Amino acid sequence: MKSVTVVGSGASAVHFAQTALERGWRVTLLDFGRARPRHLRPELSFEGLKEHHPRSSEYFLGHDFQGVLFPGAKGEYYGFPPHRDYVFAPHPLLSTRAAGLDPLMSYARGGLAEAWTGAVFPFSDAELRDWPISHADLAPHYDLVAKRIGIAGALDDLERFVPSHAHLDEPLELDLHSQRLSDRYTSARAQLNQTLGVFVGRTRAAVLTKDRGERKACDFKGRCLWGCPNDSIYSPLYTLQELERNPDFRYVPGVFVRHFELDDGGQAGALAVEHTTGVRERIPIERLVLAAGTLASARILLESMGRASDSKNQLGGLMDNRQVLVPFVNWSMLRERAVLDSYQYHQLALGMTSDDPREYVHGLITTLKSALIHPIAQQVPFDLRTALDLTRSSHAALGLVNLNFHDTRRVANRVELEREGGKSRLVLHYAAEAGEVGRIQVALKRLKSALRLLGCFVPPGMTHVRPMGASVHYAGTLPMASEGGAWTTTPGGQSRAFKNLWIADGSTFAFLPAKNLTFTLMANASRIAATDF
Amino acid sequence: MAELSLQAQELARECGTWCRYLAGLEPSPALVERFLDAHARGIVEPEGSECRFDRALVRIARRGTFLAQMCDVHSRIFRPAGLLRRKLVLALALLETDAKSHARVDQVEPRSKLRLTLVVAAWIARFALLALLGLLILVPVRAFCALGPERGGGA
Repeated sequence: MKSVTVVGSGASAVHFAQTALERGWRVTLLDFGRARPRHLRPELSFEGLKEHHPRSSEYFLGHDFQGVLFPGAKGEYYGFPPHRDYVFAPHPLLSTRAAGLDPLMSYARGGLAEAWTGAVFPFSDAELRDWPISHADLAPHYDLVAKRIGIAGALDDLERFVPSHAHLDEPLELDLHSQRLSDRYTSARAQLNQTLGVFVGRTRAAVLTKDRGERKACDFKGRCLWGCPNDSIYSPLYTLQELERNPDFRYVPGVFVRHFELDDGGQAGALAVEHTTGVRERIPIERLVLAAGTLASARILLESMGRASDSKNQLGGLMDNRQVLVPFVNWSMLRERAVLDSYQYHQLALGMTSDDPREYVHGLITTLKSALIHPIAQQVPFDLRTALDLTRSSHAALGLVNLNFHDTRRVANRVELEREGGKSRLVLHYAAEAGEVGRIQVALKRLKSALRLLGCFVPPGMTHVRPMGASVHYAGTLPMASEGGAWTTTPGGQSRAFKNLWIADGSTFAFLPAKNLTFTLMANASRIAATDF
Repeated sequence: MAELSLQAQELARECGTWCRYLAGLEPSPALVERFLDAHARGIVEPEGSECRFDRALVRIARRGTFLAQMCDVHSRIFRPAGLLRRKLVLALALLETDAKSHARVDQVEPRSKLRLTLVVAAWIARFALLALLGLLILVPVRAFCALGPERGGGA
C-alpha cells in the first residue's frame, strides 16, 4: 500500500487525507495539535451559563481578564473568548515579524476552522479565471465535502454569485431580526437589485439542522462564538475523529515539523520534526503533502530550502481578504426584545455586483443576539451609562455587515524566512492594492444605501476597517498554474521543484475572491487527492 | 469586609459606586472579589506613566453616581482610554457576566418608538449638560494637576 505524509490538521489536511484514504492510500498526519478544552456545561445556553454557572465571569472574561476589552485596546466588536485562546496561541518555536499584515496562525487540532463562523460559498468560474482549473473541476468535490460536513442553506437570489452544490440541508430558522430584513428585502428587491446591484439571500453555513452521528443539530443555545456545545458548527476536528477509526490512518499529534531534508535525488527525503517533549526525530517520507495553512507551509518550505541552499528565501503573492465591519440599527426592531439564546452567527448574506465579476463584494449579515455588551457600549460616543442604556434599548435592532473584498497576487506581498543565531523567524510584507480605499468607499456607499432601503441606519463613526490579516484568509504563495516556475504547482497541486511534494492548502490559490475560502480549501484539497493519488 | 486592607476596602466601595452608576445595583460579593483581583493583577492601570488628572478624576467620580457620570462624560471626551474609563469598563464587563446582574445589562423592557425617541433625547441633553458642568469643574482640576510635579500620561 502506498503511503503519504500530511502536515496539518485543518480544513485542507483532513479532506485531503479523507479522499486519499478512500482512494486506498495509507495516510500519516503530523500535527502540533493543541487540544480543544471540553465544553463547559454543554446543556446550558448563553443565558443559562451566566445564570447558573458559579464561575461564569471567569468563563466569559477569562481567569486573567483577557476577555475584558479595555478602552483603547486593540480589539473588535466581538472579542474572542479567552478559553478559545488555544486556537491562536503562538508556537514557542516560531517567531514572526510582519509589516502591513497582522498574521494569525493556529496550532490547534482542527486548525483555524476551530474559530470560523461556518461560511461556505463555492467560487464561480469568473473567480477561478486565474486558476488552471474551472468550477466544473471543483464541483464534484464541493458536493463531496458538503455531504461530509453538513451544510445548511437555500438557493435564492445569491445563487447568481454563489454556485449551487448537492447536499444542501434546510436552513436554520431565521431569528426575528433576520426575518424582518429578509421580508424587507422582498418588498424592496427591484430597487436593490436594479439600482444598487445588491442581492440578499440566506447564508450557506456548515451548521447542522439535523443530527449527524455524535454531532447534534443546532438548538439555539447562543454559544456559537464560545464554542458550540452541540458541535453543530463543523470543525475539521470532527473529520479527524472519523479518520482515526480507519486502520490505514495514523494521527501523530505533538509534532512541530521543522523542515524536510532533500535526498540524493533532490527530492523530499525525510521530515525533521520536534516533539513537544523536545525530542527531535527524522521521519522518512515517500510522498509529502503540506496542508498546514499558507503561512505554516511557506515556513516549512522556506526553512527546507534555506538549509539546502541559499537560493530561495522568500515566496511572493501573499493574499488576504480585506474586511470592513459596518454596524447598523434596524428601526423596525427597536421595539422588540432581544432573544439571546439564538444562533449567533450570520443567517443572511449579501452580494454586490461589479463590472468585473472578480471584483464582486461579499457580505455576511449578523444580527446581534448573544454577545458581550461592554466591547460595544464603550464605543458609543457617550458616557458609559448612557451608552449602556442605548445599547440595551437597541440590542434587538443591532446588526453588523462584514464586507469582504477580493485580493490579487502581487510579488511584493511576500513571506520570508530570516535566520538569526540559529533560529528562524517568519517575516511578512503586505501592502494593499492601489485603489483599495476608493473601492471600499464605493462599496460602503452602496451598502449604506441598501441598508436604508432595508429600513436600517448606519451610526456614524462606527464603521471599522479591519487590519489585513484579521480575516485569516491567507493564500497565494505557491500558486497552481498550467505552466510555471519552480515556485508554482501543477493544477494537481504537485510542486514543480520537488516531485514528491504536494501543496494542498490556500498556498495554491491563484486569486482570492471576496468569499470565505474554507469550503474551497476543503474541496480543492479533496480534488488534489483525487487527481494525483 | 473586615479582613480587607484599607486599600481593598476603598476599591470595594469604588466598585459599588460604579455598579450603582452603571446598572443601579449593588455588586455581588463575587463581583467585588473579581474587581479587586483585577486591580491586584495590575491590569486596570493604563500602560505608560501615571497621570495625576486620571487619579483626580477617579477620586471625584467615586464620591457618588452623579459625580461618576459627570466625570465619565468628561473622560469619554478628553480621556477615553484613561483610568476612569478602564475601571468603568471593567465594572460593566463584570456586571454583564455576573449571575445577579447580567439580566440588567442584557435586557430592557421595549419602549414605543415615541417614548424611545423622547428618552434618547433626554439622554443626549443630560450628556450635553454634564459635559458643560464637567468643563466648569474639571478643567480647573486638570489645570491644577498640570501645575504639580507631572509624572507623565498626557491626554
